[in-house]
Amino acid sequence: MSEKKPRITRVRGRKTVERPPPSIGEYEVADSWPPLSPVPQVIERQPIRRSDGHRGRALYVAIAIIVVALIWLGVILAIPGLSPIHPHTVTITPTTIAIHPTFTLPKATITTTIISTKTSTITSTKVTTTTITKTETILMTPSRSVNLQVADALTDLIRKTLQGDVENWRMDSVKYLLSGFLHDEELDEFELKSLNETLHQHLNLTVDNNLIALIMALQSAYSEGNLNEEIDDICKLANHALDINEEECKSVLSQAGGSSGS
Amino acid sequence: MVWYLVHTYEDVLNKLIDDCKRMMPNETVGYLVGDIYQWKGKKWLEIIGFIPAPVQETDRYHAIVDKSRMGEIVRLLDEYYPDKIIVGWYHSHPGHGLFLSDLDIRSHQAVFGKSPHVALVVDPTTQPPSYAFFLLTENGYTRAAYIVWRRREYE
Repeated sequence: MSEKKPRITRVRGRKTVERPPPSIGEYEVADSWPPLSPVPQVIERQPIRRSDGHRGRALYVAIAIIVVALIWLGVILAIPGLSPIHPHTVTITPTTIAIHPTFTLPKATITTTIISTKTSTITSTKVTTTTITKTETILMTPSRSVNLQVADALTDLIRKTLQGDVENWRMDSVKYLLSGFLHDEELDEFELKSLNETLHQHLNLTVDNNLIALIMALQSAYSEGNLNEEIDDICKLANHALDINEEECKSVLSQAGGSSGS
Repeated sequence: MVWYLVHTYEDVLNKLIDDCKRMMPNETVGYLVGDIYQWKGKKWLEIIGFIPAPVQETDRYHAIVDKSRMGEIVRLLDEYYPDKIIVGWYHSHPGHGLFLSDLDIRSHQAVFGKSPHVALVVDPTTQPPSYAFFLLTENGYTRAAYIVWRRREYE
């Protein structure tokens, strides 16, 4: 039995063999990531013959359709409101916080802009109202434990919204997923796509800017330890994102606030 | 020019996905078998097979390998894949999407701390089944570039 064990330890000591990877000449590509660019060999295998005019025309038509589709897609993405992920302002009236999630693709960095409006009233012979607007851009870098709290709070809110309409294991898997996605302290494009697919598949929810803003607001509140101060604004966001009643939201968050998330 | 770190074969991957489907709705876990090579100063990894791991317990969102039966893995490796090594591990996320959870990262660090071992995650619930290879980085993990080759039929 002890002779079998060295197999694993032996590997570390042996030299790496010099060998070229498989090539197109030997095999066909079934799948790859990132996609492999077309190579001449593949084209040679399906030549467009002069006698086969239909095939040539079909190719031109297919290229034309792709070009039109790409232009159309570009127009759709350029129109605010039609793009699935686009810079968006979440405005809650009256409120002191507006959150602007912005995405820089392909590696998305989520920044939060907090606009605080302070109104001071000075009474003398006449009343003057001064509004101070302060804009700050904060890079969200919450800790791992904070993200577990966020995953906990968010799944509790979703559970409350979908009360009775969803099995527990689905909620647990969403929580598992969220804590996994948030582990590196930011949601990248790939994670956003997977999160969207999973939330849609399990809970018929779509990841939109309201939901992203809610995640960020929860991250901010748990990082700063000021959930109680921010709970009104967060629950307004939750109302936008999940359609949860604000009072129910406050009740859920005040219970989830002290949990460490597991 | 992208350097494809992972090279595997369609028939191998299809069998692995079938194994993940067989275990649905529960997770499954196992080891990727092959070898690590070098070409022009760059490493690449060939996966020619896999060995499902004996699990202690499994449900929809986790699977725990029965470490007391690790000897079986070594025996299977010797019997079916002589001169090959374990080059990574795979597990399924039925319906969860493709990513590494905190627990997955810790497991990978504990067992496969040596680069370039890879983690393959399969979601057998999608149509067609989806999968991704991951590598650990200093700050977390990243997707590994891969090619799945289809063997040509020679007459």
